[in-house]
Amino acid sequence: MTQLKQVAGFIGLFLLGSCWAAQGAITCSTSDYHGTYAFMMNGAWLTSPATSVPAGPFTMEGSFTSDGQGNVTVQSIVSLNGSIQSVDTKATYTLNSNCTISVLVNFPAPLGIAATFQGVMSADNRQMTLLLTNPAGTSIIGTHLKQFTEFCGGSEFNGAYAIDLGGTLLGSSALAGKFHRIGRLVADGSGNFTATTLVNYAGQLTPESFSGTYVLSGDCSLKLNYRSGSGSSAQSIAISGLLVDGGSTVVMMITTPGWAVSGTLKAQQ
Amino acid sequence: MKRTAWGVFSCVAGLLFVGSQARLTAAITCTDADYNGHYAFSSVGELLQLPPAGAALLGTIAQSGRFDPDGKGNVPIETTVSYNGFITTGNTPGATYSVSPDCVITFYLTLPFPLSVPSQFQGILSRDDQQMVLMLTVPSGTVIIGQHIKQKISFCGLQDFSGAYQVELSGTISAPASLAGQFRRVGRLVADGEGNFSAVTTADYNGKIVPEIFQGTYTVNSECFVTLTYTTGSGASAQTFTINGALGGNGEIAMVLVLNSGWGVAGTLRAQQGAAGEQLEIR
Repeated sequence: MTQLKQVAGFIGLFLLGSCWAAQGAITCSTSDYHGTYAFMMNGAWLTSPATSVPAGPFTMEGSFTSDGQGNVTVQSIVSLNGSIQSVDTKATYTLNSNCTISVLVNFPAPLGIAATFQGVMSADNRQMTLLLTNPAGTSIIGTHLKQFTEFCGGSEFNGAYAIDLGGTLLGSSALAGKFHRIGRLVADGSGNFTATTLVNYAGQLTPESFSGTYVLSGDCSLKLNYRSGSGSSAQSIAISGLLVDGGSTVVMMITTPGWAVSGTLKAQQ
Repeated sequence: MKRTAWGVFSCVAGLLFVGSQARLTAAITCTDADYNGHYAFSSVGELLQLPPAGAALLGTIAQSGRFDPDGKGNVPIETTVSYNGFITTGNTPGATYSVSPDCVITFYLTLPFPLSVPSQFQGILSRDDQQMVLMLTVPSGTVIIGQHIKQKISFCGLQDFSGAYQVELSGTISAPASLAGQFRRVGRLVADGEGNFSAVTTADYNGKIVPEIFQGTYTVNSECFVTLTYTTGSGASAQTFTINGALGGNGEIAMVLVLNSGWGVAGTLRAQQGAAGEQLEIR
């Protein structure tokens, strides 16, 4: 009986030990990165790597779709110092056994540069952080979230969401500078939304409430449009995003020229 | 005819049900009691305007710590803060809060020394009250945003921080001058559950990319705060770094701050495995 207890004890310790070891010794292969990941990237070009890329605030939003064999299709919108452009291209990746990843992207015009990103996968390969490592002279980091729902029927964007949008408002207006908006957005599931928010324009706080419309496409891309301000300061604002996790999160950026702002909507429930 | 009437009734009932479901998702109601427990947090922001006496603090403000709401309107705050690279503790035992029915929280407190002024924060709960984004609203002249994750574990030990973690750190360095500027680090850290860790990372020092590999030791206290210590370089150029923060979730994320003088850098360590189905995305 005592021997049996000792054997059981050893087996238990062995299993416990192998469990700790397994947590550190995860192994990834090329096929572990596959499917569509919504992403947003923000930061700044501290120096200009090419005449096509001015130094200044940078924001990018879109999707990385991996075939699980080393190839990625990138669909994105970029804000280069406030100039908004669509950037669709191909990339390749190498996923190491410890789940660190290198991604090589040839950005076509208007960027016109080759770029290398290095990152790490987390949360059982459902999330990824990428740092732009080449060309140098940047401080740009991106967050990627796996999009498990690849077809949206229209009702996935519905209910109350916490708003978190941050970046830079460019230009010479009194509002220009660091920007952040938090608040609450309620979508009715039928293409209309209302929002009650608090906005930080370079340190000056302003409550802003607005309503607008949205379109959710079959590929789970989301477009929101609204007008803020009044009179001569009224401005139409467009936001482009992608639903992930069955609609409980939206990764998005403002696509109105002059803005370099990205963020998320997270379902309150 | 009977069938038609029944069909119409079914349709109306169905529409009412669908409508009520749609409304339910928007018409959540929160009370002070919904915000309770422990929330790990970190933030990076900027102090843009201060009275002349506080000019030395202008610049990056980074912090990490824990909010401990009691569900009754009181929220002691444990935090460590970097004011433009000046590191200090900023515990605030007397903070209070109120939760509106739409799950928006207003916090009232006096900012700790050296600012020592009345302050308000506003936060929006999400993910069934498990996460919150928060902005400092009073006084003006700041852009400070915090990310909060509910802590579901207690009485922690070394084994609660174990395995492989994704490293993501951002902020600015004000000193030494040779490193000054914007800073980012991504990489992979492996903790052995016994107080030792190793890390393979890529750092971005104001646009200069540097691979950095290091190893060190760590502790986890019973309140689920992790402290990591490591040394880089050797001889006269050796520098010891300390990183500290609270665990969130079931230990799958740590919200951390670099405690070295001259650094205003905060971020996350996120488990590569075992997030228990939760999206823990942090901007």
